[in-house]
Amino acid sequence: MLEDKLLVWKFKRGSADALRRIYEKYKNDLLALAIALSRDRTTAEDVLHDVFVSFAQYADKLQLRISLKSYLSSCIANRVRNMNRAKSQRTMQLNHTGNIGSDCDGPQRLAISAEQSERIEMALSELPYQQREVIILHFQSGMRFKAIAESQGVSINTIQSRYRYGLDKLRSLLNSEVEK
Amino acid sequence: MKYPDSIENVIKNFCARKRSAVKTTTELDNRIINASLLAQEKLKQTQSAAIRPNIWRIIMKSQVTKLATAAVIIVAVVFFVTILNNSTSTVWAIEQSIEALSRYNAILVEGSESFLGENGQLQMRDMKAWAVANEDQTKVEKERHDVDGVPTLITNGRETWRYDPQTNTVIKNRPYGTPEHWIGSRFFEQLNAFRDAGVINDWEVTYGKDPVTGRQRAFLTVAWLDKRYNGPRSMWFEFDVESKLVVSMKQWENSNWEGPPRIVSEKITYYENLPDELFEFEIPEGATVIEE
Repeated sequence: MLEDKLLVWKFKRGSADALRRIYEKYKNDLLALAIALSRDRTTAEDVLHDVFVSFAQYADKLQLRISLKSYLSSCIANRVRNMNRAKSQRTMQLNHTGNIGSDCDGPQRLAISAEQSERIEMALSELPYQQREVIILHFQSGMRFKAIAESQGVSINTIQSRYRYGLDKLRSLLNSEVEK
Repeated sequence: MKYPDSIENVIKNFCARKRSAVKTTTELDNRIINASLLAQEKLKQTQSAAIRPNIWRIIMKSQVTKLATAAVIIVAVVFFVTILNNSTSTVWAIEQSIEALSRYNAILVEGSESFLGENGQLQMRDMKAWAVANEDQTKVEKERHDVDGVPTLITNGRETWRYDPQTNTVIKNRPYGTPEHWIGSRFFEQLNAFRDAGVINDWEVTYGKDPVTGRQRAFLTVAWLDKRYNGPRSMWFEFDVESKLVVSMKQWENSNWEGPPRIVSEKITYYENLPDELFEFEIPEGATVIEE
């Protein structure tokens, strides 16, 4: 935490080294988050790119009220949301029928069956975007509900409701899979 | 398939696995770093000397913050003079200042301050002030202010005590005011911005020697009139050229360095930190304590 504060302090004063270190520290987590939210690696890479360029571009206006990681995660989420809004319906459809989890092939599949992973991924994809976003930000980026609420400009109750409804739906979807 | 764990655990584990599986590529890293550094460079080039009058006004609102601010300014301006000493032309290297400022997280200022005596005349009294910055050196977190050897204000970041020796009264938790901005380099930037914006009408650096030690000294005088920035105000700083640190300073509440200074700091000592015990207040015997 202190390290982040020092990094931000230096970064705001124009330190290129601080910018590099912030990127190195969070790049993988942020890319994973962007992939989870956008469900497309290429889009996620563009999002990560845009977020960091903006981050550097507006360094002088940076006012952190949450942790650096939460702040960057919020930026990723906001950027993905904006891109989703702008994207055509066709792209959205591709997302739903695309090769879910193809960006996540790796060690996790050694620990969890491909089938189970795919089912969870599918269940997540069934959620309304706002619910999925809260769940991913909470579980994947470790963001607290309060921080998510602040970053999205909504009440914490709204965020908690989205989270609760999302989990209920996931539970229902995964249980129905079991029943089948 | 069965999910013996709670749904939270299932999703949590799933997300953790996904997170650990994703890595950026070298190509992507290079693309993003290069674009970000370019954006950062452009920002540096186009950054205007934006002034934030509210910050200045807030800082200068109370006597206590004035003192803290003075201490901060001292640290900040050191680096300006440092640069001047190394060159015949005025060169400003903010990075050097920032780096040097970050070495000190605490300061002790010893000197005197003026007050309005019973006869209505300005008189001087001894004062000492200790201040510690917060973790990221953006604010004054702890401060102790002694007048004639008696602590008249102590704040430890959570609680604040003010003591009036005349009435033997302690007021606890009166708002400390705005112990904003340890700043250091920020204040330096602000002074520079004021100068660039034409707010500071006098800014002069001269050189000399300490008559006792013979050490090389640099003197900076600044003054401004603008009431929006708590003017009129004038300041005088003395820097030790070798150590680059400010060794004394004075501040007047006029723009001409006239009359008794509001604050005279005859000795300034820099520390990496100060003990917490220094910021503990002991209620004087028989004192009336008022909690606000």
